[in-house]
Amino acid sequence: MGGDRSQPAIVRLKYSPGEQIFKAGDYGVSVYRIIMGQVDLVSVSGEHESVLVSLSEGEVIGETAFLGRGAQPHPVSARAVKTTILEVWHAARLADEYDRMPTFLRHLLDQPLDRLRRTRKLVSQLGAKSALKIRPPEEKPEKREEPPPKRTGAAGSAALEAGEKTAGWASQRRRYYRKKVDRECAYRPVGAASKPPLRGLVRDVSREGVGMEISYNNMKVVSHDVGDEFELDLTLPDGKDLHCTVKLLHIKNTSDITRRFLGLAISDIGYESQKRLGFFLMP
Amino acid sequence: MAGEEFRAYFKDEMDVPSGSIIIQEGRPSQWTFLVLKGQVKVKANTAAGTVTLETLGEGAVIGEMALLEDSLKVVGASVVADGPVRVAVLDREVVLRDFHALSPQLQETLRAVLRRLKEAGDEVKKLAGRPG
Repeated sequence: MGGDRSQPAIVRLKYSPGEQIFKAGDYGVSVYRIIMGQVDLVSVSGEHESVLVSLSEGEVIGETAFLGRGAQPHPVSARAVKTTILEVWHAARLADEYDRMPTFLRHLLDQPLDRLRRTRKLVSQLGAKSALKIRPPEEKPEKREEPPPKRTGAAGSAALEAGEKTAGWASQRRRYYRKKVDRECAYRPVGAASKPPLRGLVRDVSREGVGMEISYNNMKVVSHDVGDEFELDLTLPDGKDLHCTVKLLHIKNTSDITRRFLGLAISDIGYESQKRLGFFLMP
Repeated sequence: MAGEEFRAYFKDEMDVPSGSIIIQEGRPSQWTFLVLKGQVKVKANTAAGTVTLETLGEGAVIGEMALLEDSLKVVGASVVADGPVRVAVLDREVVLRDFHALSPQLQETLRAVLRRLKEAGDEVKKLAGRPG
């Protein structure tokens, strides 16, 4: 696979004990190989957790999300049990190769994936009772990613707050990986396709949200109440167009009194845009 | 259902009477099949008796896990003809030739899918076999 400069390089990521690698329901486009450490794959059904398997060096995780081409969420969560290093294989390479394989081989290999999805659903429905005790981390989890860019006067990233949830294990808070964008976008209320779009500045995006700065004047033109939905069009820094529907979660002041910061959750996104977003967010 | 491209992977075709065991749970699998006509049931033995895990129809491949992943040579569930069934016996060498032509990363990814499937299947058997 070497020699193609257009393909991203393979990278390695480090996780602390207890740190979440991905969560069931996330859309993933990377496959990970365990270089060092140990990872639990956890099935969550309501308040029940079941450790499906504990994996160590040489094993691969995230494979089902890849085979769903980023359009299917992870069916299970993955959590580092001890200090763990993962090698990230980019879906772009694997997906291209998968598409090029002989048709019959692909027919043969598509089936275990479908079967795995059905079987995991059956596991959830049967309501696994687990002897899992939430393992306290051996050490305090360190931040794996860079902190969000500071916005003077803002109390942290709105996209981060939009994405935070309490995970199944009490010691963790859910954080979606966010990437800086700093690009102009066009947006308009849902159902107002005939109206001229408003301009905004997308500061960052994650799998589930958008942080956007707007002129206060926009709020005089159309309603910007919490819960309002907008159609958003953005060209990502890699040149790919993104279109999605977003819902306003909260509004914050900025250091510039003529501007506001909006925390938006992605409420609807098409397959192609989802794939483009996924590739853009890859480390 | 099977065009010329698919037939290049066939070693033979055969008819299987209803109720016949095509693959036996707990035994090493030596063959890989493609269901051409009819349907088969995937069954497993649990503490609560024999459980039907799923039903597969035309186009389903059976025995591929044992072919592609060394740790899965021993079959985890039986496959039984549910009515008269016609199957193609796959040429394992041809399938493996194409599989080994893939990159190591893609091969490893696909093998991982098969191992996860085995683990999930074992979990279902355990849960299905619980009393109550």
